[in-house]
Amino acid sequence: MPDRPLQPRTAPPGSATTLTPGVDPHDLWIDAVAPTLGLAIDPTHRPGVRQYLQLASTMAERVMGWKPEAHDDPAPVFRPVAPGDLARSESER
Amino acid sequence: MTTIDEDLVRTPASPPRQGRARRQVEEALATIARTDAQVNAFTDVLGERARRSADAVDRTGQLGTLAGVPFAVKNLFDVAGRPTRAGSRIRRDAAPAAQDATLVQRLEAAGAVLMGSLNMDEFAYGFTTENTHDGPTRNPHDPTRVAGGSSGGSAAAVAAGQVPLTLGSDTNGSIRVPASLCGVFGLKPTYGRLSRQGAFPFVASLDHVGPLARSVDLMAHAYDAMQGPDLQDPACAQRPVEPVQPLLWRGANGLRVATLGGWFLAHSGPAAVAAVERVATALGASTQIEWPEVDRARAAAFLITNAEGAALHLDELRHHAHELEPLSRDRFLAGALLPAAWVHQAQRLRRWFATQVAATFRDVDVLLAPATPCTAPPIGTEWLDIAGRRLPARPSLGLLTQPISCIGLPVATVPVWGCDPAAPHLPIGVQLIAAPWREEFCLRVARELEAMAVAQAPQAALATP
Repeated sequence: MPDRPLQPRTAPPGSATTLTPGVDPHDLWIDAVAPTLGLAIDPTHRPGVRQYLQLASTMAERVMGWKPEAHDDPAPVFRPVAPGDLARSESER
Repeated sequence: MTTIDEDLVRTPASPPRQGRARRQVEEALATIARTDAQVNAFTDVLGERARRSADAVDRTGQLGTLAGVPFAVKNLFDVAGRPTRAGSRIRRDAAPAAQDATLVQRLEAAGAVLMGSLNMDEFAYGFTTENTHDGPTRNPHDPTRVAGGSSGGSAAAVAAGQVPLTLGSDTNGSIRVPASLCGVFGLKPTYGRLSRQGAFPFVASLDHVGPLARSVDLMAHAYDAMQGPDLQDPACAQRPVEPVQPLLWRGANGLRVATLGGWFLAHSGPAAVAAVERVATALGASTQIEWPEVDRARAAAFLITNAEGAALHLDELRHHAHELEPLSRDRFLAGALLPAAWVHQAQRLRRWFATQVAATFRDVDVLLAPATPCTAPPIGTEWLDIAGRRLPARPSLGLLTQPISCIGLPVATVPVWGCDPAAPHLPIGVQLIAAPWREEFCLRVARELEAMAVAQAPQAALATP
């Protein structure tokens, strides 16, 4: 949780490289990304979406500020599914 | 005291009497009818099903330790023949569940009787159960205040004496936060310990399920009955049942207990600090340790939750955004837009953090931390002042739980009372945290604190309507 008022400190990756003064980069990000996902952001929802995107940006600052080693693997580990596993799973249903 | 949970756990020395399960169910139904208008814990009361189940238990003379115990589940657990709402409006017309969730089946196989389903934050994204569709669940110890969430109905139903046992889910604190605010015992087991089959998902990477109860003994009985592998949940560990209830008598004897400092102290209000001090004093725990990079771990959990949860509901966000819970809709919409690199790095950080924390458990068996930064705030609270910081209330109630579920550690939450001078009638929870698969340690310490009357879960004295 940020210990300061929410401010647009980090331009999300892929947003305009030259930011227009007075324009929150998160608004540019919303305009660029939402349509590609098929999301129509209702004008009444936009202030809230912007606020939470700003909050996520502050979280991302903390996460991206950590410098992992190449072998720091992600937490989720895939387990292959064998045919026998399917049969056991079905028999439990 | 409650009329329904006296002598609920039958021991071999107390043989069953005909009709006992049915009587317990009738008493629970009467309590729900008398109190739920004040609490709003239940969304579905399954009286006829409960009566049939109770009669079956009585007919067979079932001797299981949970025989005849009434229980209820957060309404994200599948109940055969009913749509699984997960706190939403848009799923009310969903196809009925074909069967009960695995944990419901396992509890009923042990003789417990399902009474109904319980209120929650929509799709489990919240810490207050201020559900716009179903109304807020009210804290039984002070109905002007929140019950916590997202398993708010699960904690409030136990605190109100409606049922002595419930099930909840915990992705970032959703069992521990309401257990803390409502003054009941809660267990978030190790990630992968209990099957999530038939529990509507929120964030598959982080979702846990577990019990809340009026006593540690009952919670341990229920936990033991629900253990075991389940191939229908890909995250469920292929571990044998490791019963804990028979080990509770050992208490904290021989266990090394310490408190967690750093982040956990910095984000605790005076009541939270006092509660941990009281528990630490009772256990003779004088050592304090710190975990590294807790703030980054908490941020990682936030991003994973935001992105995964939104991806799961992308179709609803596209086509039904106006029907979603206003208190979480915009957060979901923002989560749908997060860059993949943030989420991927969060998952890498999470694994690194787990290895750092694992090293600390070489020197300690159980760690203490507050479950919430403060006691229950009034319903509608937007901002909290926590240790000199002004923070948004709803996400901040999980500040102290989120870094722990992020790495799947088992945690029992125990309720401590009288720590808030401004609200002495309210409880606050302390987390008892152990290394993965060491639920035994959490529950043994919880039982010891309960036996010492340091932690208790009294039934709320609700006014007669």
